[in-house]
Amino acid sequence: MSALPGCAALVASLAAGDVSIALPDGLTGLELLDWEGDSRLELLLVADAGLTVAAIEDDGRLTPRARVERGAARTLAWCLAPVAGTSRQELLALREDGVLQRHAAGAAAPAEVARITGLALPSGVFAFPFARDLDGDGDADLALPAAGGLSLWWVGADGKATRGPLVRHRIDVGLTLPAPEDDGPEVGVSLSIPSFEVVDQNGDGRPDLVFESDDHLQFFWTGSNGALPEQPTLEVDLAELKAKLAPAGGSVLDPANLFKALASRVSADVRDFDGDRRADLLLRQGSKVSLFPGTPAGIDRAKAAQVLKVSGNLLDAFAFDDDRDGKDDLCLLQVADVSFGQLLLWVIVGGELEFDLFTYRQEATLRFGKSPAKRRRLRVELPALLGIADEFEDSKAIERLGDEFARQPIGLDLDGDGQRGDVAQLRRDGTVAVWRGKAALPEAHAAELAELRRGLLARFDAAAAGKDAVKIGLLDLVEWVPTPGAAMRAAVAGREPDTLLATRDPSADRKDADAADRQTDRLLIAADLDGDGKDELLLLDVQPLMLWRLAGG
Amino acid sequence: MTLAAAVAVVAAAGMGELPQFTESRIAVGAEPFEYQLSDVDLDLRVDLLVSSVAGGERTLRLWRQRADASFPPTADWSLAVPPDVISWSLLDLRPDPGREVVLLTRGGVHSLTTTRAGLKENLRRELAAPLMPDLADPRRLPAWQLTQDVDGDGREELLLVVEEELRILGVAADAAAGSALVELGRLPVAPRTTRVSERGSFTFGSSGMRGRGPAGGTSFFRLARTSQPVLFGEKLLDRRRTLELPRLLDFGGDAALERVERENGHWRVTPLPLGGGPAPMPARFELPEAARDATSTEWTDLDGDGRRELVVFRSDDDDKVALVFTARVDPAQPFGALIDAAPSARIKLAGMGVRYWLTDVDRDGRQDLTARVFDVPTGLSTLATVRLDTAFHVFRGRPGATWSRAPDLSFERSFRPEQLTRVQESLLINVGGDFDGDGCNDLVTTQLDGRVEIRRITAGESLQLEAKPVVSFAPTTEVERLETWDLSRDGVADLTLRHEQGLTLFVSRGMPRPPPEQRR
Repeated sequence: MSALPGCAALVASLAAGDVSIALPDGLTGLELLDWEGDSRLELLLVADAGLTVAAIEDDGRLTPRARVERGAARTLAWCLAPVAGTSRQELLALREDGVLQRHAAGAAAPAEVARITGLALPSGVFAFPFARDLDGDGDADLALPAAGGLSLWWVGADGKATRGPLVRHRIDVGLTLPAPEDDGPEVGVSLSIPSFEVVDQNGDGRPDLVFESDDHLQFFWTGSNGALPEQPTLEVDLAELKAKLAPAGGSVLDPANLFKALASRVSADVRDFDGDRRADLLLRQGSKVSLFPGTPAGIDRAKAAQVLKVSGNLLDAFAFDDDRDGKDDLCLLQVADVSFGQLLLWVIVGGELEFDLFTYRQEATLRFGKSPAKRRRLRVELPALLGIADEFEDSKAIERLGDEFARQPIGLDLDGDGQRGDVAQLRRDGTVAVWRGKAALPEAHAAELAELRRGLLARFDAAAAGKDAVKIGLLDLVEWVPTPGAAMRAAVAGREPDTLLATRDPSADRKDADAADRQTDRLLIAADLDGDGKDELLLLDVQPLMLWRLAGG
Repeated sequence: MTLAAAVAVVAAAGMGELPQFTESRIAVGAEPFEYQLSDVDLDLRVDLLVSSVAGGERTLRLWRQRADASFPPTADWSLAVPPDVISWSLLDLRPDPGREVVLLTRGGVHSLTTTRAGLKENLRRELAAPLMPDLADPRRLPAWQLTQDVDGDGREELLLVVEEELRILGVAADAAAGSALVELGRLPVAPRTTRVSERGSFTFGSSGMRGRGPAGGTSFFRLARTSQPVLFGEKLLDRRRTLELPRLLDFGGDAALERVERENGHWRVTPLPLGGGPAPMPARFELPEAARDATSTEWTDLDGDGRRELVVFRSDDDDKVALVFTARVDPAQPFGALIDAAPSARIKLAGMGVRYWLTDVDRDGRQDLTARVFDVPTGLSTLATVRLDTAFHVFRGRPGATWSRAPDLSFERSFRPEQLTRVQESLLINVGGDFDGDGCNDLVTTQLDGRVEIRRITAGESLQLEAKPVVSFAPTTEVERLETWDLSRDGVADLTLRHEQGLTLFVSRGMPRPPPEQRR
């Protein structure tokens, strides 16, 4: 194939040695993939007209390798699927008529994988990671939205898909409809489907499936034959449990304690709490917390291993290894009563909100102490809510928080030693700071809730200095908020960067009074583009869309 | 005691005469639900349509208002709505009696009459076109409200978003078979531009660059290692598409609508391109400084002199104000309006929350300014003294596009915190209807114990709010919303109470007169 037509002219480099990659106009998406299986990465170009796989030449020009036309279809959802045993990726394309096709390097024509009925997908050409290995056989299976949940399809060695169970899963559609009296009428639609877990829950070494909807949890555990069942192994109907707790008086408030509403909250956590590799159930129903042990075949909810009842306002109940003895402890987070009068006072003069975290040690298998082994009390001083917006506006802590949530550092392997010991950080002004290092650093985003909890408790314990209570202002508490990449930032804190890459983003020039609040919209991407074991850096600017390969990383 | 019974007691006690009301209780039996009041069978009586979801099924039901102003306990017509229906509307499209229900799907428009049950031999395709929105919400069936008289001929048109255009569709008068929809014009619509995250605004994920989710229709390097953190969990799919529609207003005062765009301190007003021909030329109107970043604006004949004024509402932290700017004829402009830079009226109220709106309370043809104020007095800063103050004020409209400088009517209440067990219910208020037929609207409120009360307002030199309610009754269940509409079209206001899983309607039993269509 010849060079990609319709490309914008190559633009000047950001800095000496940077290579501008010539993107065509009208792109709505970009992705990297290994199309050929040679460890060199190609660029997937997404546009309203369809998809193009293109090789990135050394001079920044793009050479097309494959093309998927949208044609007359309103919907073209695409997904990258790994090919077992190789680094190669295939492109799966799903159209609104339910025809799912596989596009692969070297194939003369796309292969039909399945014809799926009852699909409800939005219009447009968009990424939708619907293919992943669900049954542990190495082939990417399918999870596609259907009425009420997800329809699972198993893909066999022949590349064909057969229909599996329909599982309940949260699918949120949001409609914005215009009204004649609207000042700025809009019409909009959103579709949000959370991911689901593929994880071994019954300790047999094979993946199990966990699906979660607003009010319903479903778990499919592999049986002794190694196959996933058609019916869920365990179901938790949160809505039914919640209905049993609903107060008789409708929405009547208790003005003496607004947190009384927590008495009807229900939550469930299914994972291994006692270290036997089998998931257990932690069920919170209002002020009652129950633990049910797991077996290879499921969880028997007829008899709880332990039940605890609390008298305060229970905000959260979770299992967490607080004392680091290798076994999860039971943690109950409570909040003190707040009256309507206190709430009104918060508005005009501020006040205080008090939290208690009680830790019950796991003394035997799923048996927790009858009284808490540890108590932590956090008193948060609230400023008057009337002026809180101004306080937030002027707060450096809030500004830092905004920066850290907007841009996380990336761990890099710039020298090809197999360790991601280097760090690149995109800064507010659009430049990139690079620190060289040797030892591998923590991954950028520790999304594990347990890690976030551990970080927060560490901050508390440090502030408490041996006592069991800490009093802190709301804005100071902001400093405790764990942000993505915090561990990596800490690893390079206080060090001058070894290299600064790229030029400043003019749209984030803080000297310009009108733009003083702005951050760069650039995106930094790290990848081993040429397959030599060393990471390269790409920098994307969105307005207008431009992509550079940075030199000197 | 209900409203109907309370009215009887009031009349017996010689406290004055109110018309007779009929009470109807509608048990929807599902929550959430949405409703619309519209005259479906064109008999001048307003009917009730309810869309609800129960057991995973969406249902559209119709209750027809009877001649005695009652609604039957069970629906007259019901439809289990197919899963691909996105929204619905009403339009008189077919020779069948009354208006038809119009169902909007991803692929177009269908109609069906409510004079027959079900879809079979009833459903008719009216239009095949790729509509937006393109997905149905399985937990909601909202009404499509863009049925407007666009060209001022007294008949409604249907406005639809097709790909990136707003299509204006009229109804052919003589289409006995086949579709009655005829295209009158098209307007371009624009995808909403993505916003750049600003300091402290925490617009994570809203700009397409702030989260890995492909918000705003874009998706860049979602699978790669990037500087963009994954917030709030990975999504299997997270797609949002929003189109900005043109604002249509009767700018010229001739009942036909114009396209009005606000751009950098001015309005650009363009006649709609109906019926072909060359594209109409826009006219430009400079806006006063105060209108440029207003919370909302209205272009309306405030004082009933036939000329339009610009009414500006601002609800900034430090500037909760309503302003009127008069407009003069400009012969050089097609719509002839030069908006004055200085306001002719200005009302500013203090309080933590102030909401303004226009209502002709005294029905003198001039629109009055009504305001709702919430405040927590800052001087009372102990648990023993703190309180929530609410106030409702009416500033009467005066000749020359002004309002009274001080409120003509005020209804103020203070609540101690311990009184607010039913806080939302306690704060309901409505001044949109005339219940006693004296030509002046009356005040409907709820009390702390949930009682609904109607207080008379009388209009003379000033507005007088009677100290005691003329009607006070305890609804059967908690009230979430109260509205006043003239459902029997007799010129007397009727009361609609919305409950969690139902409605109560109190409808006066006068003879219908044909006023303009009322719709919710």
